[in-house]
Amino acid sequence: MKTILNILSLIGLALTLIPSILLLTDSINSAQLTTLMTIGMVLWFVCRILRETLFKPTEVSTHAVEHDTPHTL
Amino acid sequence: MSTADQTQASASSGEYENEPVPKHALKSGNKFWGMYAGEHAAGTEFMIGPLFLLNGVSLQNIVLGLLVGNLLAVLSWRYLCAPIAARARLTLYNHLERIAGKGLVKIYNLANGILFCFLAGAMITVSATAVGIPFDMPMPSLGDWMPNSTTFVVIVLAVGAVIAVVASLGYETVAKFANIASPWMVLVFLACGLVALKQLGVADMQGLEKVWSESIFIANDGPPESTMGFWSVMFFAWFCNAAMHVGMADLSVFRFAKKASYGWASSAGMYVGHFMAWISAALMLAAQIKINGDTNPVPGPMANNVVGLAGIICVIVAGWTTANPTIYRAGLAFQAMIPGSSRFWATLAAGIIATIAGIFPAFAWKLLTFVGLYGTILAPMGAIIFFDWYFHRKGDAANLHNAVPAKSFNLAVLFAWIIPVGAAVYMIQTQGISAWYFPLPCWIACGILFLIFSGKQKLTAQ
Repeated sequence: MKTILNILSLIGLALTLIPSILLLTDSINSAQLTTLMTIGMVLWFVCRILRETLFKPTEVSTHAVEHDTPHTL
Repeated sequence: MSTADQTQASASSGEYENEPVPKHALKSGNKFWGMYAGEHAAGTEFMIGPLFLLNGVSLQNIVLGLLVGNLLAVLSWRYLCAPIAARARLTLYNHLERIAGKGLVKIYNLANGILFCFLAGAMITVSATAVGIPFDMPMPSLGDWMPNSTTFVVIVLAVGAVIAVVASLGYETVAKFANIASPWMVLVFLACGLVALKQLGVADMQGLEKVWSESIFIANDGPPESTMGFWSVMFFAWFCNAAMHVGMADLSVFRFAKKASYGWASSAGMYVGHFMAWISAALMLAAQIKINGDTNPVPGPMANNVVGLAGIICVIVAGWTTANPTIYRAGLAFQAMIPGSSRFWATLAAGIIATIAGIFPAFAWKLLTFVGLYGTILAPMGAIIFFDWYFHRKGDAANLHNAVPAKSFNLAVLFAWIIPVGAAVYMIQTQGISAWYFPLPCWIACGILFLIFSGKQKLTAQ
């Protein structure tokens, strides 16, 4: 399950970037680009949130290093 | 809570806020690379790139200025901040308390908190421009310093209320969500830049420079009046995070680093967030100007024009994940000012201030100046730490850890800080000199004044 979620989330990331490269090479149009990027976004967030919820990381998060200094720029 | 109790609590929470980070709690390098890459692709990037274009900066000056300025920022993290952090292993606040005293750190914290509120306000404005799209909200334009419609005010209040309440309830959930969103946001920025390039219809660098110059001409209704050139871009890129590197706020980050060389991880943030993302955002505005002649650098519609829904969500998430920890931190600063006060209410108060600031688009439009001012005010405190570390402590961490805590209010530090900062703020306000030129002279002046004043203090004490 964890591996499937990892693969799906990576596909989500790929669908976020690759359509813009395909648009540059005239392989897809703008409407297809927006659709693919939307699918990529949904896939990424759903899979990553599911992964975080179902398989909580055992290691301490970076919260400790981020706590004091939110980088805002 | 007694000091011993506080130390125990901070150690058990894994944050070691009141003691040096022990060896077993140190973190590996990839944590720092990931953190910097993600955290510098934030809501502010959607504003800064377009503001460069509107200020008439040539493409060549942007590219060169950002390359050099970001390199200097990385070197500042690597050679000024990280070496002290990896030896002293204290948070900025704890380190500063030992030199300047608790009372003065509270004042520094308050300044930090207030500036954070206004920065968060700009981010609420950014998010509101994306949330407002489905409601046909009239977008504020560059000339609007005041809110331009009731819809805008209502949406800012709604966005601000959600952000403020979530920040008040805690940091953990939003931090986790920000970590999840970061890689996606970085790729959306890159995709936005690539699509904008396509929309600009340029085949080579010469074509891009031509379209860029035309965009500047249209945006300024003629040749630009701005004097922003290579040096402005370079100094801005170097010092937009001045509070973090030369200002030593990132001692709190690098105290967890096994080696000072982890300071190089900041390059991920600089060249992803402050190079690629800024240029992408500027290209988005250039594309918008070319397509419909709209010179308004409003992030929501700009992102919608290039990549649609993913762009709108990216603007909302970027603004939200930036504003949230900023408000949280401001809340902690306010809480520290009033002993015994509740973190929830202090954070909510910070959120309310940020939301009120967000109603005024001026804070977003004046982001370049505001960021310069932010560095000018906060960065000099880093000079106190740097000069104290090398001249007073001789780089010896034990000397710092075992030192008798400073008095509540070290006047040498106070005057070394406010004299150069006061002069700089006066010159920014009255002479109209750009704020991003001041962090460096203020930092140097503050360090030298600290050595002089603390030397005099010692002589008087003897």
